[in-house]
Amino acid sequence: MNSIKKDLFDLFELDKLPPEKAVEMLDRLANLVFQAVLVRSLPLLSEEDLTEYERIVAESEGGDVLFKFLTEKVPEFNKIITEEIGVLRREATSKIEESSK
Amino acid sequence: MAKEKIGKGGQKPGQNKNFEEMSDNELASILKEVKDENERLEEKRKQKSGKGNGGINSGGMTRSQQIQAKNFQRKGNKKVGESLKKGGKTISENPEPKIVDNTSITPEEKGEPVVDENKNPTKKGSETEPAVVVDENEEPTKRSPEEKEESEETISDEEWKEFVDKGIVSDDTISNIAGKIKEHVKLSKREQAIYINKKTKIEERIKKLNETLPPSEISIEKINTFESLMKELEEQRQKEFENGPQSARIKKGVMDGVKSWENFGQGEKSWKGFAKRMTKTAVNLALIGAISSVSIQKIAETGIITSAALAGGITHKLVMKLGIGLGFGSIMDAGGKMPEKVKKFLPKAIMVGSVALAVGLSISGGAVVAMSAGAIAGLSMAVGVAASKLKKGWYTDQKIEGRKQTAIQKLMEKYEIPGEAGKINLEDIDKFEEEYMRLIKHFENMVIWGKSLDEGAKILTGSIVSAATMFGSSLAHEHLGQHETINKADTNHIKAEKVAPVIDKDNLQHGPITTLEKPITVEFSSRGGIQTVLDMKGAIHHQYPDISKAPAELQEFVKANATQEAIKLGFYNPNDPSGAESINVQHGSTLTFGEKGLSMHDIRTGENQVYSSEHKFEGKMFDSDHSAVKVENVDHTQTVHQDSANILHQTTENHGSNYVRENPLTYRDMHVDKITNLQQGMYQKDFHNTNHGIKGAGVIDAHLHNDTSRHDATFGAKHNRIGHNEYTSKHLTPVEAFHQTQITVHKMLSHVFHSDKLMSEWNHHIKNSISAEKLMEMHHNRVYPHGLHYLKPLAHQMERLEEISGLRPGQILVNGKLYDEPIENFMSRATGEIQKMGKLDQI
Repeated sequence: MNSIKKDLFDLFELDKLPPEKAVEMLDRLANLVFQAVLVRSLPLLSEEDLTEYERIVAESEGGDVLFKFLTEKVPEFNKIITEEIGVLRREATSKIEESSK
Repeated sequence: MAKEKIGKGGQKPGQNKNFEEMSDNELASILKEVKDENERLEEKRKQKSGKGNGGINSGGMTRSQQIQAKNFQRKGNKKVGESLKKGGKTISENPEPKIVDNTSITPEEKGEPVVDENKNPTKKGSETEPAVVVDENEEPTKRSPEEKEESEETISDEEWKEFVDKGIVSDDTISNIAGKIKEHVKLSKREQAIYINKKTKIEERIKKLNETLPPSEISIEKINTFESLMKELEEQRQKEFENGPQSARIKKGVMDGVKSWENFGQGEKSWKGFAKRMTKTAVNLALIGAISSVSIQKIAETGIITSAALAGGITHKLVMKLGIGLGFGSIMDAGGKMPEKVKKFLPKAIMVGSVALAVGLSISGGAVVAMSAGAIAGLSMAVGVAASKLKKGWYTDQKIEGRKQTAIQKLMEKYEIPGEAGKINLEDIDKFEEEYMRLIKHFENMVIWGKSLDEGAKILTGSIVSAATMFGSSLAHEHLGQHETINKADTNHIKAEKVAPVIDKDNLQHGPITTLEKPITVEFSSRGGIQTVLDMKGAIHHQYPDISKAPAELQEFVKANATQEAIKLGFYNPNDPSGAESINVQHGSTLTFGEKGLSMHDIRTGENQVYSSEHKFEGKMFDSDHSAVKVENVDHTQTVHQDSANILHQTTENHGSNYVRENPLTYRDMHVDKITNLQQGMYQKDFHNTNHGIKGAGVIDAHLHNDTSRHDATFGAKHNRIGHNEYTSKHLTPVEAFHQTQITVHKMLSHVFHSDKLMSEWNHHIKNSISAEKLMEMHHNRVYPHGLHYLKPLAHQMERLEEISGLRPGQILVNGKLYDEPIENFMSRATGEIQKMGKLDQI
């Protein structure tokens, strides 16, 4: 299978990694995507929503509340996620291919 | 239809086939055989009970057979029934056949209450399953062309009888059968019968097995590559982010958001936190594109809903569904389609991940990996110890998976808390997670290493275990630096790890799993097996001043009685009828506690041997004290200086003995070794009788008479000598006292020579060359030769020992010659005295 077509799960073979390592890698990959998503999403929020976002984060209301809020407030939030997944996937693919040369 | 006759002792028709594949004849033959056996048992029972032919009806059926025939009838087992008929038996009322033992009369019949299926399968109605019943619709297994062979009967007679008599089958057996079916391994005849009777249970178990992941197949190199790539990606992204055009507020918002997500569910106890962590894993899968990102909102909402529901209290069953099957249940509902790979990954990831997060680990810090590494390394050591206990087939896939499912099942049942109105105890999630984590890791490790061990020859054990350790170590060191990176919060996790069972309760004791930092090696002592064990204990103490931080196996070794340990390892056999009670190995051979566990390297053969309670030293032994050898012209007042469990057989030319024996431990320097022997605590057995010419203010003499450990350390030899070959525990106490003394001395030395370099210098260059008296002389004169100033703390310690014990360095007699007392010898003697005085705390 061409690595270009693989998603991040396959690229890093998460299902084959030892469980603890797999979870760690999953979390790290997700963080990279989430960071990129936030970089694009936060500037799209209104001042009021940004303040609300800051409150949610500061008060540690929880990741579930955070995602619910972003999904509701950021236009095309899921599309941004999908795009950022693609960006990271391409970067990872490129690096994996480089390393295998 | 032609019938095949079953020849006794020969291959029976249908043997090793499942019922689906059997011809009518084969089926009938088997059934007939079982029926005959049943009748035989029935006859036996009748003879016992003296009740005549009570169970036999006109049709030749026992009562229990009739009942089971009824069951067959209810269950519609026509094929089998017909087969039996064809087999020549007439079954009057109930033509359906059965495989049944006479003793399978149900409690129902006996007027007893019907009990749980697990206890007794005989239930009313369609649920009624007398001990063994065959159903044509029940197929043991579907087979593939590459079906593997399982050659022998694995159900013991005892278990079979239990099954036949009471319908009881152990969970382990259920799991094993399920595993076999899953792996297309042929079932034995008994297993087939059990399968038929316990089909529901076994099928459920198979279903669970199918939901489990295959063992990890990824190479260490690949894991390292992924790690490097991940680091590169992280660094690159971080650089881009820091240099990005976003405002400081946005950047802070981004960082806080990521942090908030990282912390989601982290360290939060109760089921609520558990649900959050599961939600997080699921969302993360969506964030990397493994599940549709469109699902994120739904997944996140699921988390909220779950948390709210849990906070209000829901039934335990539902929580279990959420807890264990989130990936299949809630997330599937919320997220729609989920790839098969994720389905497989999720349950495991959820559990492992949630536990890691539960104790406050940083998900990017990788401390989890360190602990995993530790666990694996610890495991590997334990595996090494257990290697010799391995039984072929113990770690086959099906058995491991079977045990895993059994364990999970039991764990689930354990947490099936009735509670009020079906509510759960929210606090129990912590314990549940911890136990589940332990269980998962246990079986993961078993799959990876146990299976390898099972398949490999023992000689490979070392390399496999080494690989395991390297694997663990490389992850720990490469990603995390040292274990010190584990913070306080991690400690909780380590604690959880520590109690993880390693292989199996039957194979290994449960206990702490920590990493063996480096192998611990001691040379076989010229004093023999017991002393070697003591030396090893001392070396362990040196490496682990706080023994509680040592791997479990080491702790157990240290705690164990040295003499008993020596006996267990085969280094010492006080009851040998020939009098050859001591291990006979060549000087330079070593005993090592390493990844493989306890092993000996025999310098003579170059071979390594792993020891365990079931695999002991089986090499040459010899009669160290000549208790079984008639020796003429030996001056017994001068004695041959050997210890109870030992070795050195010198030509006693100085004493007129013609007893010459090949010396298995060739000393490099007799003089040095004599001194060394004494340093190590070797005393002449009859020294107290022959201590003429001793100088040194009578110190040695007093020691020899007072330090019972000296004598008792050699009790085995003495015991033999005086004709008592029984080994009794009362002799062990002084040995233990001696052991404690040795340990204390080692602790003192470890304290004084706190670095490996100093300790090595001491062991290899100094301790044999400077006597205790000489050291004290240097100390009092404050004159130390160049390079020996590091001995000052030792001298201080010696001074303290002198002060408390009232003893002074003296001289010792070896083979009629006097030598200045070695330092460690004095320390040991003085410490022993202080121990008797009850003042050990002062040193």
